[in-house]
Amino acid sequence: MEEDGGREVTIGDYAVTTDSGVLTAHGIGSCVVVSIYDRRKKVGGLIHALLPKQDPKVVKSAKYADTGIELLWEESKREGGVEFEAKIAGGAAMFGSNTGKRNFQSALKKLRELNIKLIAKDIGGARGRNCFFYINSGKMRIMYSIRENFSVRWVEKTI
Amino acid sequence: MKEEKKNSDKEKKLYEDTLREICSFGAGNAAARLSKMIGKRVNIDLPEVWVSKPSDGFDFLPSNKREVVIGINSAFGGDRRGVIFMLAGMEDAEKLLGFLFNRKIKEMGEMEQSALLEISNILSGAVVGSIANFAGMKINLEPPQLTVDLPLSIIDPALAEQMEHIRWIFFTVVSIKIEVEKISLLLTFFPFFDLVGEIWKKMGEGKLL
Repeated sequence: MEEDGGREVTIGDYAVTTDSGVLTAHGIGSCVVVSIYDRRKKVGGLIHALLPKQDPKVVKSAKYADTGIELLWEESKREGGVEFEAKIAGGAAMFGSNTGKRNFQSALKKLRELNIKLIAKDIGGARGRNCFFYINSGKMRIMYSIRENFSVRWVEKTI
Repeated sequence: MKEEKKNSDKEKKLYEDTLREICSFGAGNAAARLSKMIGKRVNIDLPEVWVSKPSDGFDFLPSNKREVVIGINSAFGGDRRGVIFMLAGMEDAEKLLGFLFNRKIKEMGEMEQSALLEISNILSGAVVGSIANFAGMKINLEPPQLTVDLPLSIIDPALAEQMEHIRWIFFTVVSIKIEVEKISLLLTFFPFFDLVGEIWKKMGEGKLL
């Protein structure tokens, strides 16, 4: 089963921390979660975005992968981060929807624009994910549920 | 600023009342159809409705977000598009199938999945029928698809699409109880158009405010 604790980053939200804690995001379907992390300064954060791209005329929001990553990057820099690496999870094709793919592509484009290296990803498929991002190590643990009759078994991977 | 907030609150209340009305009507029909199918008395609770602006955040899902559920997705098309979901906890699905087949269900095989799809068809059809009646539109339900997953991950593509089309997002839940056994099935729909605005326009009210 999965562990509790840590700060939950809900849809349309982001969080940055320098504490040695865990940031979590639950029920990620076509959404994407993107972590950015400065390994030397141990500063990092996580965004949980629902949509790919925001209208540039309105105030930046973490609901969108492009503007959300900018917000995450700006705050991580204010917290002392300098050189960031990124990981992405989510972007599933739930019921054949292509929103997940668009979310991933938008996130990727923004990371390139900001010169942040993507070092790992776990994207696509057709299953929801729970995600745990550990600030002291920069590791991201991802959990999926597999149905077995009327119960579920959890499987996990770490990127 | 104060006036803007007042109008926004008024509009939110209007959305809530209209959606509750649509769901009550649809759920009443759904309960009657389900009762006929399983031969048991089916009761419904007053539908719950959440209406918010995307800027208010999304932490409104009523069920336990970490508990895996059975989710059945039925897209609807025709004059307007959208999606309706039936979500049921594993235990609730097991009990429901037990009522239907009159025996204890141990496995979720093809027959059990088909039965759940059929139940979803009945319930979703009733709610979509209610939407079509209120809005004066032709709306057809497409064949349902079943998945087992985390509730938020099941609905988030629909939430994303809804947000791309309308200013308000809303989430409605209809809970159904069968006889003395409490079985909660959640029906929630995501129209990809301004359902409430169009209904009010059709009713001759013109602009909402």
